[in-house]
Amino acid sequence: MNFQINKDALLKNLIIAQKALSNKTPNPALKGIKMDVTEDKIVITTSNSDIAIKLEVKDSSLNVESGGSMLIPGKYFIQIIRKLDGLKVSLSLIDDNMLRIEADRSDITLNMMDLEDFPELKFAEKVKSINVNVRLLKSIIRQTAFATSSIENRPILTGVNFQIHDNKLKAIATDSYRLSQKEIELNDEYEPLDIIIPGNSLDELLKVLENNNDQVEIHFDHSKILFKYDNILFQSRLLEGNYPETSKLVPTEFPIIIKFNKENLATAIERASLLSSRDGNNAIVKLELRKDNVVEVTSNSPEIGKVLEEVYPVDEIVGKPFKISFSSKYFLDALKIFNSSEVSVNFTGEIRPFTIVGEYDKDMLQLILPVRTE
Amino acid sequence: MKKKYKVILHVDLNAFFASCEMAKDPSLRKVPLGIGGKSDRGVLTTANYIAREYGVTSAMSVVEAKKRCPNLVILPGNFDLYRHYSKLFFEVLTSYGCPVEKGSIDEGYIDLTELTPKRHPLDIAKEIQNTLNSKHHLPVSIGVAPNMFLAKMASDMKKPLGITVLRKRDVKEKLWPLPIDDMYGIGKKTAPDLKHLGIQTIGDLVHFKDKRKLSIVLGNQMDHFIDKAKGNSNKDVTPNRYIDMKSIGNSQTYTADIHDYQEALNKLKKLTRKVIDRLVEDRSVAKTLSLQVRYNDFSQINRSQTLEYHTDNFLEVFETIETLFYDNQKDKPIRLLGVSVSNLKDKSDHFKQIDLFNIPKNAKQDERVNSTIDSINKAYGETLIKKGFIHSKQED
Repeated sequence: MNFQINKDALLKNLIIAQKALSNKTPNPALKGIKMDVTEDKIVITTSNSDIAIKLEVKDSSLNVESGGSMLIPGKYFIQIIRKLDGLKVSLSLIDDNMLRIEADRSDITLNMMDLEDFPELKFAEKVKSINVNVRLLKSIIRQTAFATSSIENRPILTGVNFQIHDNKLKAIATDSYRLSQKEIELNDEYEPLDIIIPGNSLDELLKVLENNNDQVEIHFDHSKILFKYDNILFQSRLLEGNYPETSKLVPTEFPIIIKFNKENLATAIERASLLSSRDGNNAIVKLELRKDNVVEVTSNSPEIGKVLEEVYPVDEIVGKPFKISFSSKYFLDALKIFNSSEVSVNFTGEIRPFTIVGEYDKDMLQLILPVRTE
Repeated sequence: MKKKYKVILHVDLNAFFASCEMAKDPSLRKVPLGIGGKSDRGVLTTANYIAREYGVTSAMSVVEAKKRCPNLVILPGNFDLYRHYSKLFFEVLTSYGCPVEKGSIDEGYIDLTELTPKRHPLDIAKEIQNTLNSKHHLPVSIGVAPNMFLAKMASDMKKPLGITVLRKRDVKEKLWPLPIDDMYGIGKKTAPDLKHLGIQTIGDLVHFKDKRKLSIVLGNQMDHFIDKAKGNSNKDVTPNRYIDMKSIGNSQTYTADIHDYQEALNKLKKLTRKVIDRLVEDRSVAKTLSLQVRYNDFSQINRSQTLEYHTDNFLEVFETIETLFYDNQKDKPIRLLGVSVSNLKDKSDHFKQIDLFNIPKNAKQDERVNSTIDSINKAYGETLIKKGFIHSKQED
């Protein structure tokens, strides 16, 4: 095997492949990057326990003198290519088990891994796929994956639930303390679908997708989902099990509705959460609607001090004076992903879920569970 | 601002358990008194000063104590009584409006720095001592020092009813000659190890050269101990430290061994109730719940479980204790049962995150109760009404 390629073109693809590279794995072969070189292209494959990535590289700078396959220690290879000088890099296999990397004045030899240890990966493309605009897919992920659970004791909740009915795609994520839901319309009608994609896989997918108006083809079966985009095949395992029914848990009637300027509310909550003795950014703040229709955001840590913030609602308030306490993190996480500059916060009771919606985010719903203070 | 020395008192109740009995029953004030073991197989936890004249000490077996002092009166432990007097004791300390830290049930620290421009600390110490002695019949010895460690050491120097001032410049003369065993924080395990190194007194510790050897014994606490011995310690009197570190527990040794599962469960229920009452009274909530079982062959199990949230709810706690007991059953008669809760925090800082899949069914009702309580409290002052709980009828 012997070929030359533009260094940056190779690096760009390696960085994508790195997303599925294992660092800790019982199977050392998964620390490797598989490279298959044929006449006109390089195919790069990586895999870990959650995702697998396959890239077809057909750069105009590619010049293949002879083809072949090899398994390269991923971490070292990427570090080397990243640090090389020169525009071009030349890669050749010597003595059957060593890769020689030449660029500018560098000459590096890297021991290869045993190709036979790398698992056979099937990237299953189906006849029928779902097509979604990249930008839209990215916004779905960005607006839901953050609400997945990061603890493994309820594995199902570490994933985002994707449901398709006719031409509607609904994505739901919850860690049981807050819930994020986004619903979009697809261009076509599809068979009903109900799958759970690991939140971590979606986070990695987000890094791979660019911001443009291309289409992503989504193929899936009962255990895997495949995203086909540009020269990339990105495959993730699916979580097994039934996602809990959440639609009945979202309240539909709200006796108290308060509309805020998003920035004003967010900064008030941020300031209120500064003086918290609680670990992390998990401060508890209290929101109180006063008789004079001003909203007070307060927090109190006896050993540090207290904060009182007044926030003026931007519109007529529906409902009576009332107060509620919640984790500032959940509220701020939710506010961050709104495009609208004004949001409505809809309350049902001081120990019941409340929702946040925005005029320019009609397809999205954020739900937060309060805390009960004794 | 000019840097000034802190003034900290350590107030130590003398022979506390015995003093409580004597405070309650004047007829006991003139007789030798020991507290502890109900039967001959027990040991004394405390002896009053009259008994001590006969050579009776705490941790002495009942048999031995009776040998030394045949007319010794022995009373069983009565923790409800001790808690009552402990409360009175801390009420006196907190009445000065200065930070008070509970050391344990019978000792406390008070930081008088704020008051000292106006009053001499010795006057305050005398006043505390007199108030406790004349009003509650509780003798205390008091240490006055610039930090908590020295205050603690000082209160030990003159007992009972002593007041000892230990300034930093007195350390060489008053503290260093003391045996290393007397240093607060050096326990029964560490002291022999230090003596093995040739450290007999607190002064020896300060002057010990081979830091490497010393660190093997004292670990990462080495510098900490040396600093304290030199009279440097800047730990503040922290009113809530008690809550951070301590646990609340009740245990009981039964005169007759328990053979029956249901009977053991009933005993555990009683113990849990006591613990919860104390927890509520302490205005704390707990996260870790522990069960202790000692069998008649003296083998023992300790099992605990940490909940996802803090609680002071009897049913939640008892459910866990019952599960722990059920999961660890053994086919042996039980001699002692204990229930304790730890990982405590102040209830006012307590929140319970509500779970989407487990929204309280009585949410509506709860909200109404809360808002009623709030409006009453708003109208009549801060906390006129609080939420209580219903005591289930205790079975015997």
